[in-house]
Amino acid sequence: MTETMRRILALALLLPLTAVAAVSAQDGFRPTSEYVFELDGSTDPGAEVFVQGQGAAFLIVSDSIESPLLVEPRAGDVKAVSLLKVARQADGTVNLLPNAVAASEGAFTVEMDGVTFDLDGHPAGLMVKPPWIGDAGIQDLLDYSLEYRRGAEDYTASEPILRELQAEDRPVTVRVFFGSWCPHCQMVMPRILKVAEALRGSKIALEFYGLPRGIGDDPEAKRWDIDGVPTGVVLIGDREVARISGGEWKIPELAIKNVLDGA
Amino acid sequence: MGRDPVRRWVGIVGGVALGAVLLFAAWTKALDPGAFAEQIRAEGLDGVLSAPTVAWIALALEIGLGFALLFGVRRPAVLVPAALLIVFFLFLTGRAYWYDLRGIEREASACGCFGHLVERSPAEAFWGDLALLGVPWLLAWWGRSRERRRGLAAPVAAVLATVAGLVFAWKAPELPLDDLATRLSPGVTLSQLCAGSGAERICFDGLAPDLEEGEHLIVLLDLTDELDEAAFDALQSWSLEGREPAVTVLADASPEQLHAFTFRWGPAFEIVLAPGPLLRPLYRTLPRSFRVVDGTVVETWPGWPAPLIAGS
Repeated sequence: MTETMRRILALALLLPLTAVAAVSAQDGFRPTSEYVFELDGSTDPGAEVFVQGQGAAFLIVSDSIESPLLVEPRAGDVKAVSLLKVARQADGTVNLLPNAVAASEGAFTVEMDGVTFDLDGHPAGLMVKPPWIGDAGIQDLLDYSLEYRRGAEDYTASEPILRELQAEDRPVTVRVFFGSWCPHCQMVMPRILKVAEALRGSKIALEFYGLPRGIGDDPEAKRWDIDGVPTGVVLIGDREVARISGGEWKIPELAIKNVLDGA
Repeated sequence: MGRDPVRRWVGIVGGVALGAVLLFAAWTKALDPGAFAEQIRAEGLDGVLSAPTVAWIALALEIGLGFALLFGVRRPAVLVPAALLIVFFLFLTGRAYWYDLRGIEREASACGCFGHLVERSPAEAFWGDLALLGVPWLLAWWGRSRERRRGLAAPVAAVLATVAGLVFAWKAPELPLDDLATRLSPGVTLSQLCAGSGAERICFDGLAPDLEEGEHLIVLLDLTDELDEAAFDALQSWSLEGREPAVTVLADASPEQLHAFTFRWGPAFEIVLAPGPLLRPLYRTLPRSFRVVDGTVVETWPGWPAPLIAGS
């Protein structure tokens, strides 16, 4: 075998390796709870899912699998990543170290509610988290959604308005109907939760109820005549005095104050 | 008629006013005939003829009657069709007003005779159309022409102007008139971009409060469209490199469509889903982009954001 032929052969052998190692997504993975990891048909409760940007790449870390998995939509496949190459940052985000060696696990299939793939003979998937249906406490929702938790931490409610609301002497209930699947709720729910937390111990209580996509089919929605989310039914005692909906939720504490001022 | 100058002048004023209103209304639709056809479809007026056909017929009628009245043609042959057109507009706005009063939500918003460009509540649309169209029509009818002699100059001029108007409407989508044809133009604030009425009213500042502070590049996009890969890659690199201003895509899509888009394209930028009635008045064709500084639109581009494409 000539020198040239040996070089060509070596190059041909190395090419697949370089393709496997070419993990384009490297850093800035933040934890998300919008998706869950499923293995053998059931949700893996210990799995952590991280996302880069809106969905440039997803990283799945779990004790149930040998190596973390990198799901790259643009490449349409799933790669195994060495756990040693997963660098957790102090702020909770994760970086993949440069030149991470990854083995391809094959292509994924896009389904209605996620993507599925084969993991060494086991059916696996990155699936949209099932929506929250029914009553929920503040802590339940903060635990349910990392996005809610992060958004609530980032929101600064107006202190003067909160003080005014904390001084309210009438028994007020704001029953908030929301959809964990609803994009507008995704924007305002963290703010509402932040205000709800701030009003703990006051006479104003915020209750939460998650509705399914078919709002009209839910008995609680029928009972309260809810046709859109997020909707807040404001009660003083047992008497409904107003509803908060649409863009009014932009500043939840102000929306509640405005209702109570007029009631 | 010539014997009663008051009546004649009232007729002229009424005719010119009605003609001007019809022409302004036609102008708002001619800038984006496609959006007008969508409204026709949303109103369920495309039973026998297709929505674009109905839209072009209505546009021709509006332009023709508008120019005829502006040129002083106040004969029953013009005023009677004008009355029918007015009744049609009032039927649409009145129906929307009636639904609104009863709290019934509809896909089509009450835009009345002014298309997407002018935002009005159902009540404003109905009463506005009644005042702006009904009153001048009554004046024009009271002072209508009764001479036997009928000059040809004004009708011919009206026909020629109508043809010119229709040619303009045909070419308008290709002309750089987005700022004029839509509610999105430099100087507009996000809090001014709203849709719906009453408790259902929603504005951009409420939908995406984070866009109100700092500088953002915003792209209006149809997630189901075939995208320009080079432009998308530029958008993607910009976001992955964490360059400023940050890119946000606004789209009217279902969560399923967002999901399908995510797993096909793997977007690195943020995507905010917005209701169609809020987005549709902001563009003629997609994608359309703009730059926002502290909640105010400072620059717009047809297609993808120019700085991003230039910087790629």
